[in-house]
Parts: sequence; structure tokens; C-alpha cells
Amino acid sequence: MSAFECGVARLKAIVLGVPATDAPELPAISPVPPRAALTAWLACLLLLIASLVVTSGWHPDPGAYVTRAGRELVPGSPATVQPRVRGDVIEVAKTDNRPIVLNLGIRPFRTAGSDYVMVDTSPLPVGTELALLWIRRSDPGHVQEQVLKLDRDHVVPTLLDGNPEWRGEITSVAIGIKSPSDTPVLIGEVRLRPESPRVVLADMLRDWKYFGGWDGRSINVAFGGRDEQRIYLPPLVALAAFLVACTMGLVARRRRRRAAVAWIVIPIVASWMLLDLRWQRQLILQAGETRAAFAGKTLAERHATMENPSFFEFVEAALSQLPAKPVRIFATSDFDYFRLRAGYYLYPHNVLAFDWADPGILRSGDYLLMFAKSDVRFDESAAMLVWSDGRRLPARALVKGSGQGLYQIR
Amino acid sequence: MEIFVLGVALLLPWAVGAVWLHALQSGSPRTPLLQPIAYGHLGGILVLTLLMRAMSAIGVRWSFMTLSLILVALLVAGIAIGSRLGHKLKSGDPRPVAHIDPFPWRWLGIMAAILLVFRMGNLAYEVLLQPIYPWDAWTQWATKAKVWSALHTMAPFIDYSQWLARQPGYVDTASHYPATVPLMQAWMSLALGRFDDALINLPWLTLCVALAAGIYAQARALRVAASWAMFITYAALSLPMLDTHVALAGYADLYVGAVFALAVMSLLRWERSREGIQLVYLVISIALLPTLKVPGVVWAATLLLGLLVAAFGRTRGRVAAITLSIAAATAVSVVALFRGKLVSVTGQAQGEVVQPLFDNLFLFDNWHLLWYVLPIALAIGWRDAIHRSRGTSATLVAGFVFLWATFALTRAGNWVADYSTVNRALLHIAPAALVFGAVLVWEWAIRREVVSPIVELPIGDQPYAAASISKPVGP
Repeated sequence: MSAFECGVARLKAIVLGVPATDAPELPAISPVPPRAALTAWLACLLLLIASLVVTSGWHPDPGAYVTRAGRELVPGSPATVQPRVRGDVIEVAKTDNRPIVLNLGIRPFRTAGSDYVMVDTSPLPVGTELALLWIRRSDPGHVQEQVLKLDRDHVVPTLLDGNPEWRGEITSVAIGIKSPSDTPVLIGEVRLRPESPRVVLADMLRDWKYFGGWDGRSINVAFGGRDEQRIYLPPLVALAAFLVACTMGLVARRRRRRAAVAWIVIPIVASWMLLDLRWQRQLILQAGETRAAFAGKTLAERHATMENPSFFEFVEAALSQLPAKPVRIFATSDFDYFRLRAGYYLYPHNVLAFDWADPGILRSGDYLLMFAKSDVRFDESAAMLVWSDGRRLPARALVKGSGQGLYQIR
Repeated sequence: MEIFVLGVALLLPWAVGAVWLHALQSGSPRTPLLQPIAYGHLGGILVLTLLMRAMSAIGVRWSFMTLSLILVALLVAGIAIGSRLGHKLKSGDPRPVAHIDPFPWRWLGIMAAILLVFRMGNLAYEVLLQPIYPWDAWTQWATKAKVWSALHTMAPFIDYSQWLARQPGYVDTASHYPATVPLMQAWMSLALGRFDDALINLPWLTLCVALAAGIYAQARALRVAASWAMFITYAALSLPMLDTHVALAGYADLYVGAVFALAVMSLLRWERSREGIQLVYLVISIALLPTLKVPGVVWAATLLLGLLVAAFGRTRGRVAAITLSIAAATAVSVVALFRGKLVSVTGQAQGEVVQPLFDNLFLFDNWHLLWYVLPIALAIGWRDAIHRSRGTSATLVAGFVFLWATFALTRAGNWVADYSTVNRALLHIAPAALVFGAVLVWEWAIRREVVSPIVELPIGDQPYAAASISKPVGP
């Protein structure tokens, strides 16, 4: 009997109960319901998370324990815009990206390096950045910095154990704020606390669940939560799956049995689905954002929503001045995005949206579109386009504005 | 009315491809329909874009009506010829049903199907509402579609210096890029009668549906049980990078990845069964790849390598000779066709490559667990990979070598360091690798659960169940 026939006979014996006289003896397969494998995987995953949380969150040494109400914060100097105290909170107006420093006024304390900081604020305008600033006694000349974590428009606890500079004796602590918006930021309270397992767990879960929405990087990378995380979920679930598979393989071997494939396949399938459920959640949240931004709008309205309003308005105005038949246009801007994006909107006109510098390539009849362009201006009295290096071209203004315009070369 | 024309634009080329491929298959009423439907999508793209190219070449302006009428004529011809002429190519067992199921978990298939349908709905919502968004989509792909759909012909895209020298033609950031993807967008735009840069991306969604259909159909034809076949399909379509390229449609990478995955499946099937129809699928895919993106030339070459290895590579010497010949021919072609592009990537990457690559493969959620599981699948299924799927393995190995060489030995390594292109490049091969790995796991499981480990599975499509076993095996 060939090996194949042996196998078929054995297979018949297993499936149909037909006696397999010459079938080779196989080690028995320990049957396993998928639920058992799933439970084992889940238990292993929870155990891994618990061990990570406990080992990094439990510290016998007391760390920082500071609470400051907004009104207790002391504005540092120099500040271009002085914060104002309103009741218990302190109000910080637009900072034009120059940081405002609010000192906590602490007594020096020693830290084991595992504390967290939390700042209660009003909803933060887009582009606002907060950071914890501190000075160590051993390095008095340097201000150390830890940017605080944000979830959309609010601050969440930021654990400092990942920052190697948060150690030793801390002599001074402050909060730094940069805000490009006119909407003021209200700060209610600042807290520095020692980390605990609960805080570490909450931090990990927040990182995994973080939703940032589509941005320019999305087409290239899917971080799966926050860009930088204490521990990323894929290696963790993979480790849980492999531990279950290896353990059950070893147990089966000791019992002189073969481990059922369920012990390998089910944990991997479960891990995959867990990651995918998280991804699905992100997609659902994204669908909500997309709906809020675009649903019920015309295509032009959706584009207007996506774009810088003044840019889109300008491009629309420029398009309305161009003839229906495609013409030759040179698009330019100090910014790649505006130049290329303007080019995209201008097609099917024959547009050049590369960054070109020599006005000598323009010919009579060509069009020039510029947006956010600092080194070219239109001299109305002479009807000339003037470059900062003195070169000039006669032109007719079709749309004009500061640093922007549509011109036809004469 | 708009929904109707959109439906016609999406389904008519697809139907043409499906009907012609079905005509070539066995006419048995039990012939599985899903395969010609899946590959018909690729065939439809090829036919439509060739038609648009041909009309432009002879100076005939496109119109949606003209193109539709030609496609309808092709559809009718396909139906007529199919009913008279069909049954010419061996198309395998009409009952590709697995009788042995080492993973008899019906819940898995049901859950995967539900998640898959939900995912598709979710992605459809994004495609319908989101105007074109990612950078290259509107700097180098849709630019051409916008011009061509407005002019109703393929106006040439020339390089920067030619444009400045006032030669006739347009310019964008990648004038030399292949035309198939923008032609599909232009076709959608012709159907709409306007340039809607959200709706022109609907073909990304239908491509995804075709990919799902193809993976499922081919897995079933490989005698994978329904629940595992559905899980494989779901797993491939659940890859976050793949989903992102549907939701933020406009890049050609999804096309390359989907076509390559379907091609690998047909190669695998051909290796096992020598069905002529699988060769037809493969040829369509190979023809399509170079028209999608520049690296498509190399992907097509890897498939050609796999095909030759599967056909003639019985000894190591032959495999080596075939590999060297294909590598040399590909190198010469690439240098001849894309010398300018090659010059731009010649040199060494400036930044760190290994760490960003590790981050993207193993830490971030770009690929779920694919790169953890694939080595395991290969470790447990290497015998099948070498003995029963030699051609497919050669294709995938060549693909990985290509990616490694690109990132490790050229300046393209910078695109790993800055997280910009690495995942997009991996998207070309990831779905194919996933499906192949999952099939290896399936076959390993059957061997392990049912057949003695010392028994080699026979080459060809002789299944494990020589006996007609109808009862599933397992706990």
C-alpha cells in the first residue's frame, strides 16, 4: 500500500468510520472547540496588557503631586499678550505662535521619572499646542519640554515616563501655550501626579482608540491610533496569538499528541478581527466626519469646504475670467500646495504648475496666475508685473490682489 | 438619470469582459460564474481603454454614446459567440466544493461576510462624498483625466522642457505615467457629462468588488471551504492600506495590487490544474499591469517568470535559467523605457531604512497581522510552496526581491525613511501574498488534520478527498 493510499484509508477511518487495516498509526489530535482557543487567546492578551500596565504603572516612590488652579498660574516674561485671570481660570488670547509661559510656582521636588500631567482647558482652537516645560537642578541652563497629548480639541493626560529628561530634582515647572487662533484658551487647572496602573492603562487605550481623521499622510501610512504610542496593538495581539499557539503545541507534545490547528488559527483570526474592528471603528468615525463635511453639498461647495477659503474664492474668480477655450497659463506660488492645486483647478487649460523662476519664458498672450507669491507685484500705473529682482513684464490684470492675481501678458 | 449613466459606465465594460470570458469557459450550466465576473472587470478595463486609445490614435473624438454602443456591440457579440463557440478551454471541475474542512467554523464565514459587506458600504460612502484628496491623485493622475475628458481625446502629456519649448501638449508632475487609470476616470467623466472628482473614482470601488469576487471564486476553486474562502477574502479586503486607497481613491497602486493578486490566483490555479481559462486570465492581467503604473512592467515580468517556471521549471537549473533570462529581459526593458526615472533613483538612500520598514510592517496597523503571519504560513506550507506552487512562489519571491532591491539599493530607500511610498509599494504585493499564504495554511491544515503527515499531496488538482466524503471533519 502506497503512502497516499495509507492516507486515504486513514482518512476514511476518521470520517466514515471505515476500518483502516493498513493505515499508519497517527498521533491523536486533541479536539478543541474554537471557544477554548478564543478564551485562551483573550486570557493571554489580557494577561499581557495587565503585566505591561502593572510593570510600568506601579511605582513605590512617590512622585510629583501638584495641583494649580488657572488663577494660580504666573505668566512668565516676556509675553507679547498678557493672560488674564477670570474667576478661577486664566485666559490666553492669540499668541501668533509665540509661546506664552505660565509658571506653576512649585517647590523643588524629586521625581522617579514616572509622573503624568493633565491640563483642564476649554475646547482648543485648531493648531493650538500645549507643552510642559521644566528645569532640572542638575541642568539649570536648559528648559526641557514635553508636548502634551491632545484628542481633537482637548488635552488628555500625558505620561512623562517616556521623556528621559523628566528625572532628578525639578526646580521649576510651567505650561507653554501656542495658539494661532483668535479664540482664547481658558485654563482651569493643571495637575502633576504620579503614574498608576490605571493611568497607564487609560493612556494605552486612548492611544489605541485615537482617531485623527484623514490627513496628507493617510494615503501612505495607517498608524492604528496615535502616531506615537506606548505600545502598539499589532505586536501585542500577535504575541498573544503566538504564545497561545506555542504553549498548546508544547502541551500537546508532552502528551504525545498533535495540537489541533484551531490552537494556531483561531488566535490569529481573533487577533486579526480585533485589529480590524478597531480599524472599522476608525472608518465609521471617519464616515461621520465626511458626512458632516460634505453631505448634501454640491461639488463646488465640497471643494470650498476642503480648501483655504480665500484660495478657493480666488481660483473661482480666476476661472471665471478665463476664456472657455484652453489657454496657456503659468501658475506660481511660494507654496507647492497652492501652485499645484491651482494648476489642478485650472485644467483643462494648459497650465504649468511647476516652480519656475524666470519670467523671460512668458510670451505675449500667456496667462500668469499667482497666489501667495511674495516676490512679484503688479504696478498698476505702468501696467507691469514687477519681480523683486527688477525684471518687468507688461501685463493686463484680470484678477488682482495682494500677492495674488491673474494676468495676461501683453 | 445620473445614477443610470453611472451604472452603465461602471457595469457595461465589466459585462463585456465577463461575457467574453464566460464564453471561453465551459458551457456547463454548473460553471462557476464568479471567476469570469471577477476577471471580466479586468478584461473590461483593458477593452475600454484600448478602445479609447485606438479612437484617439485615429483622431476620432470620444463620446459616451459612441463608446457605449461599441461596448454593447461587443457584449452582444460575446453572448452570441459564447453560445455557439464556447466550451473551448478546459475550465476545471464545475463543482469546486471542498468536502474536507479543517476549519468547520461557519460563524467565521458569516462574520467575515458581514464585515466585508459593511466595509464595502463604508468605503462606498467615502468614495461618493469625498472629492479627490491625496496629493498624487490630483497632481499626476486626475490631471490627465480632466484634460482628456474635456477634450474628448488623449491630448499628449509632455515633459517640462518640451512644454517650455512650446511643443503641443500638456504637462503635469508625471507626464510619462501610463494612461489606463486616468482613462477610466475620463470614461466616468464622459458618462456624467462633467468632471466630478468624487464620482470619477467609483471604479476603485468596483475594482474592490471584483477583487473580492476573484479571491473568493479562486479560493473555492482551489477547494478551500466556503468559510475559510470568505475569511481569506475578508482578510485581503480588510487591509487598512488597501481600504485607504479605496476611500481616498485616485492612486494607481490599488489597481496594481488588485490585478497582481488576481493574476497570482490564476497562476496558482493554472499550476494546479492546467486550465486554459486561467492562462487567459493571466494574460489579461499581465497585459494590464504595465499600463497601470511604471512598476507594472516589473510585476508583469514576475508573473511571466512564474508562468515559465510553472510550465518548464522542473529542475533547479531550468528555474535558474528562466529567472536569469527574465531578469535580464526586464532590466533591459526597464532601462530602455524608463531611463529618466531610473536616473532619479540611482544612488543610496540618505536616511535609516530598516527601522522605518520595521515600524511600517510590524508596529503600525497598515497591514494588520499580515507580515507576522506570512512567515508562519511559509514555514508550515513551504513544501506546497516549492513542490505544488513553484511558479507562484517564484513570482512572489521575485516580487519581494524587486521591492527589496528598490528600497535597499537605490535612493528610493528615502521613501521608506519618510514613510511616503513604502506601504504603497507593498500594496502591490500584499493582497497576493496574503491570499497565497492563506491557501498554504489551508492545505497545511488539511494535511495535518486529516491526512498522514508523511503523505505528500499529489501534484495537480487531484484533491485530498479521493473518496467522496461529504461530512465535514473536525471537532
